Amino acid sequence: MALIEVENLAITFKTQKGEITPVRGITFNLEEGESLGVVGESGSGKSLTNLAIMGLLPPNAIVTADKLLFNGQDLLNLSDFSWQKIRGEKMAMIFQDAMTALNPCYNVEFQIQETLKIHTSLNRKERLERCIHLLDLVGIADPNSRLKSFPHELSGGMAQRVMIAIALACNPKVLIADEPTTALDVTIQDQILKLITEIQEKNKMALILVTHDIGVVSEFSKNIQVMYAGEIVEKGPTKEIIKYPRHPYTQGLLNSRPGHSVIFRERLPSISGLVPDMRQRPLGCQFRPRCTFASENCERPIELYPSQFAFEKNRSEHNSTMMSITTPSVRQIRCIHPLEGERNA
Amino acid sequence: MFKYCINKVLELIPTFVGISILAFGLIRLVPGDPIMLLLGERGADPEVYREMQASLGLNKSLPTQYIGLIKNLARADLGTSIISKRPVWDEFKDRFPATVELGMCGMIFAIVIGIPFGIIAALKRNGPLDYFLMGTSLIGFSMPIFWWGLILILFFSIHLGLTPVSGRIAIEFDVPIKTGFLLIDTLLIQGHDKYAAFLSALKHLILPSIALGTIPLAITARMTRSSMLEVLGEDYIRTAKAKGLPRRQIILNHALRNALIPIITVVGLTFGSIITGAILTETIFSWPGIGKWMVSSITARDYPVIQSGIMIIATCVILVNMVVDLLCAWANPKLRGKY
Repeated sequence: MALIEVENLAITFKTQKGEITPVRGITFNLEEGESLGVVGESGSGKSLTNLAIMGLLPPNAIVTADKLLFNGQDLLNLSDFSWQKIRGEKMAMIFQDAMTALNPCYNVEFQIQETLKIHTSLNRKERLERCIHLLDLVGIADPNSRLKSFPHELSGGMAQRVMIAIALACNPKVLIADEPTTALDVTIQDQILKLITEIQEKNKMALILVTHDIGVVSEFSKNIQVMYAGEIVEKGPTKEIIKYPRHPYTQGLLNSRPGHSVIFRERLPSISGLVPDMRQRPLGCQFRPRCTFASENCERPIELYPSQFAFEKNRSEHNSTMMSITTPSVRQIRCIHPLEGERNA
Repeated sequence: MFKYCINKVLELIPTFVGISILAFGLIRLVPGDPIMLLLGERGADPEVYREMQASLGLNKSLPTQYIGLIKNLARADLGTSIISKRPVWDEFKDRFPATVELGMCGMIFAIVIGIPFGIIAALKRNGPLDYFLMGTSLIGFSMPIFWWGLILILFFSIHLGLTPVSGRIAIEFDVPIKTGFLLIDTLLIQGHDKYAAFLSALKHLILPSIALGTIPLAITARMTRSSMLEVLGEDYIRTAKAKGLPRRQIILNHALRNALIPIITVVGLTFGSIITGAILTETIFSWPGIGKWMVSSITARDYPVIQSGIMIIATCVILVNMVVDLLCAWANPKLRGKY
């Protein structure tokens, strides 16, 4: 049994201008200890999906799903009390901007201890020791003196480390990191991501790493899930997707980041157009209006389906290069005419 | 901290100069003459009049009189009442606790009811309860105190007979003055009727406190609502939820704690209005405090009382604002280091 099972998840908002469904048809499983990267541009529904899993959506959001299970427990009709038992203890979340995600009125110690106080039976002294241990774990120098610091006395990177310490306080089974490095300097970004993945491996924790930077995911998570306009358009093992993207959107994302092959002074390619308006979704494939490969067939409704590699036929010929590829059925895409072959960077 | 206090005290000097000029000047702009009032309606012998004028120092020029006032104030001499012939400080000392008691009870009434109202309204935003509470507080805010006080007396005291009409305590109780606060003094009485006396004092306090506290209550409730709404949308509230904290703890520890910073400032500012409100409330309820004292002194053109009284009241308001500043600094860790 997977740790998190999501089947056909949809999120609907009731607004004054009518209902909108920014996220729909999301289906995925997260196994224990698995790391999953979720990529997509702003407005693709990455954060909403994860907030739905944590039950943190605003009250005007309606979550529907055929299945939304955590450890076999149905999350859809959970009482407030049962949520309190899961959040912070079994599932924890790190947010985009740690500076605003920490309460400015309380010091670091209070904010870490708070989680321990509700979820564990540790006494005062043990809690303090745990706080120091956690700060040490997330790489904060001189944890003893930092305990008394207030959020405004911390740097951005330090604040994010404290957030991670809070999230790790009770050794959760799942850590959801919602763009944990977007608000940080590039140099700090790498450190924080390394820290998260290190701890993930050490604690055998499942990780959902949400980001809009496909480069980040490629380094730090084993599996990847590309989202566009509230739908999953492609998923599979990271290495494969980076090398052989099958959905035109994935390819667009990969091509629009600086890589080794970029010639200086040349503009990076971008995906033209914008994410569709949720009130007027296009027919069929959501990416169609921006897709260079679009045809009339693309207007037909399309579901996520397991994709076979066209190049698999040639496996015997290119045996050496194909060895690392796992079973092909792991990959799924939502495109009528998937791309073939290696990425043309 | 020490430097902050010194700065505040230095800031007081120009404030005091301004207030003293206003207090001195305004009352002299009002037509009327204390000596004529003292000597009675039939008028007086010009000889006697001049004699009195000289003895009170009112025959000198205005600038001389003003400088005299400042000199006296600098020596901590507040002067002597023209009417009662008692030192202003003694008169003030007798009355001030009554006003403080009333003001405190009014403020407590405003805070204890206003903050929960604001929280509930914020949590039930745009629901019927929110509209009801905010509508009520708007009515409370627009209510003239003199009218509201009279309505309270008419309804609760006269119609229902629940509370006394006026005064601080029933006549049958003889309370020795120790602190001046009747709620405390009654409890210090030796003897078995101390609880009866306490209850009587409390009953006398209820209506004036409500009359005085209504406007601050409305301001507090509205401020709490808007401040809570702002805070509830902050990221750290989401973090608190993600930690699995119970709702109560999120609202009180995380939301209210942050929302309090602007609430403290606003509540502190309404303290000034408590004093002005006390003037009306005390007059309506015959409350023997400084508000009523000021009103009767103004009617009698008791210049020394008015001047010194205003100075003392202004000092109190300034001191309260200093305390509020410190409270704000305490509530907001970002400011703590700066004082």
